[in-house]
Amino acid sequence: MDFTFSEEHEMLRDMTRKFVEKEVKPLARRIDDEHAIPPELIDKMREQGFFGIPFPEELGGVGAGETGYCVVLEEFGRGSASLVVLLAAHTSIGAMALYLDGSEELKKKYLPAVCSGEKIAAFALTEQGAGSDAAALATTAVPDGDDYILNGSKLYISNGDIADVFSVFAVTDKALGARGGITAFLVTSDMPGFSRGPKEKKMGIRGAGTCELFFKDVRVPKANVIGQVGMGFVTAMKTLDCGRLSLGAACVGAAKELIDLSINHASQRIQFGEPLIKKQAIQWMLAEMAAETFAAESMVYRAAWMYDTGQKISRESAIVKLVASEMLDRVVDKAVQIHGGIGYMADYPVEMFYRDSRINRIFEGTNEVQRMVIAADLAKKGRY
Amino acid sequence: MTDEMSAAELLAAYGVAVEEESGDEPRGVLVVLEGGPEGVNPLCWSALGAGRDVADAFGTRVEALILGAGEEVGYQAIWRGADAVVLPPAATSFDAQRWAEIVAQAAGERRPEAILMAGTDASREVAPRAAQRLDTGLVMGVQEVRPEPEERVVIGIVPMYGGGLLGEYGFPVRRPQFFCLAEKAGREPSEDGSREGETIWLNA
Amino acid sequence: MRIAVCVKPVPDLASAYVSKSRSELVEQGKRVPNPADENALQMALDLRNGGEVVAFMVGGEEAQEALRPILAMGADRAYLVTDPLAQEGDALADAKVLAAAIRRAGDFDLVLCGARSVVHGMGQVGPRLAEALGLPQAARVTAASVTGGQVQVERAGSLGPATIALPALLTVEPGANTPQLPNAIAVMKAARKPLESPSLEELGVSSDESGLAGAGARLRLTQVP
Repeated sequence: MDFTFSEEHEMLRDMTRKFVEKEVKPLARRIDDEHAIPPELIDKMREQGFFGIPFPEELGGVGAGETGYCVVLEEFGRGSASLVVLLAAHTSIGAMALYLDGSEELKKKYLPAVCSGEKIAAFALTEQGAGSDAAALATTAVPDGDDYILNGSKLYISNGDIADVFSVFAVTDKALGARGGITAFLVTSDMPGFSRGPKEKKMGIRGAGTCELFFKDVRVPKANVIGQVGMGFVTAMKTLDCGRLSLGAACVGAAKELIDLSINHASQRIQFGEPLIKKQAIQWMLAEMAAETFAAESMVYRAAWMYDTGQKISRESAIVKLVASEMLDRVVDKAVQIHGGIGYMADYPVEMFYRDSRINRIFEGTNEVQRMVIAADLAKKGRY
Repeated sequence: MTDEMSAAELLAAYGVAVEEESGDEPRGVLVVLEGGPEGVNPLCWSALGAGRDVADAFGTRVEALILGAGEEVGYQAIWRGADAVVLPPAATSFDAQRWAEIVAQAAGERRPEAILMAGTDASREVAPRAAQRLDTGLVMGVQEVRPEPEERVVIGIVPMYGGGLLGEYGFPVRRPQFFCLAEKAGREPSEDGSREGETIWLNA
Repeated sequence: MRIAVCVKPVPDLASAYVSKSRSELVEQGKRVPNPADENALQMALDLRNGGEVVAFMVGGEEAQEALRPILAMGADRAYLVTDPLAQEGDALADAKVLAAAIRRAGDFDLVLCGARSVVHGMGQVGPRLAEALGLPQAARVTAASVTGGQVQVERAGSLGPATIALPALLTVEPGANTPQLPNAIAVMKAARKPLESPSLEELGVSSDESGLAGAGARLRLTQVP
């Protein structure tokens, strides 16, 4: 078994780390305070090619695969969870649905601009009545000549405020439900009848725009169907399987950053005549943080390797998402505790990490849904 | 065997044949001084002081090569410890290529065992070119010059990695042993107005 | 313009540390391009005006990891002399090997190197290389522009600006510019750029002129100050 990263992936990591140090970390607090990512930073990210990391070069991507993408997202996770969401909602779910199931013509038409970041992508599945119960969609798509007419709304859509390209899931046959009744569509923001709600105010990942989307008699050409009519739910699940992996990578990055911050603080903070890091209570917290992070990191890159070598990873990606998100909540909690009072202060990044972490157990499929997926796979296979 | 045996005597005691000194070995220390319209660049004097210390340790002479100024400034070098002043046929203003040629020519004609230059911008450009012409090594940024008379070698102490470590550099085989000091290294020599020395002209 | 850039692989000082007990530098992690050499490469990229930028390095197989970032930044191709007999040389030996590699790669308008390395900051190789190639030089360059067959430079230190006829060698002061971060596509493409590894024999350099055998000055020992 060769656990080394390729030279390209090492260089990608190095470049991303330098970019995050120089361009992201200095702005992270401002992004949180202003609930927005400065457009100049998004432009710089475009120049660096961050918007097309896993996609093949022929379609305008960087060709770094799922592993390269996890590396990049891990490094961003060290800097700003809001930027992670911008990238992840764009790449691993928004664009990914198109990449996985779109026709060649549809991919050629939209992916290059998406990979360059010229057009930001988003994934529009969740609705008021359809969260974990993703199949309970109410948005309808009714055929009309060469088009479908979409009506309905979507809720809590990441990148909803700035995206130009949306993978939208709508009901084409209510009777069939998830099994043959849901279709995926590529909708662009310039289609008449499309509108967005105001940005939500959130506990964390405040820089990432989250909002409602409204579809009022939006005419979408039949050519914009992603995959097969009626097979939209499968597309959605396939896409989410993929997205979960990189979310795990971002959690690992955040955990590593928190450990480094905690070691630094504990080495310098003197109480009772010596640095905190000499105290066993603190040592055990750091040890546990490192142990969990190593475990999650190992899992992320093993699953990424499985994906890049063409293996199915439904169960594994659900495990990664489940374990990494819960790991991060424990790590960030310990990080706040090690920092003590200063860990609560807005002057310092730890409290932002604390608020930013919580969403990981909820979005991209709640951890309860992940457990459902894992259990269903176990039951199906009859064994581990 | 006593502590006073030299390396050569030790080797002889063990029956190792030792080459008799033919009298043809490079001898003497050449110190390169930069000059200009104002005379010798005072930043170079500490190299002369260091050169004098090496020569005294080896029991040999110091010759000072003057670049960029004429014989009228030669006495300054003699007063500060040089036994002789070496001059090219004509003084030329600073050009790294040209000055390196002169240093190499001087080393070819005078055959010093060691060459010292000062820690100035000009010397730092000239020394490596000259060393490449002479097909010898060069130790630059030398904080301390340490002559070891027994082996007749000079060790240069150089800060490494921004000062985190000190490196000792030496010349196992090639000659001359060529050093370029760090700024403020070496020894400021005092003036002795009674000193006299010769003037040696390089071939045209 | 055809520009040659010489790059030295050095320890990554961000992760290396001095061991007091062993009186030496302990490296942790990969070798990296000497920072001033990255400034030299950036200057080459700024001056290239089409043309070609070729990187040259003497180092073992592991030196490749210090060369890939240079290709990612924008060098078109590279020569890496990995011949074991060329390793562990001093500046005298390395200048001969680099000069031979540069001559092998054709004619260049400019040869750029960093003014000094983070190892001991002597700054020898540049001028030695200029001598070996018979080129005029300017050291510690902070800015350069090319017009006609000349390069105008500004320099750090006391020597002031200068104008030199091409072809010439410049050593570039660390911090003279900001080396651009390669984007993700450039990173992935770096692995596919041509990398030649000529042997000493192919370079026409004898083994007693290069590497440890060809060194003039040698490091005897290191100690903690």
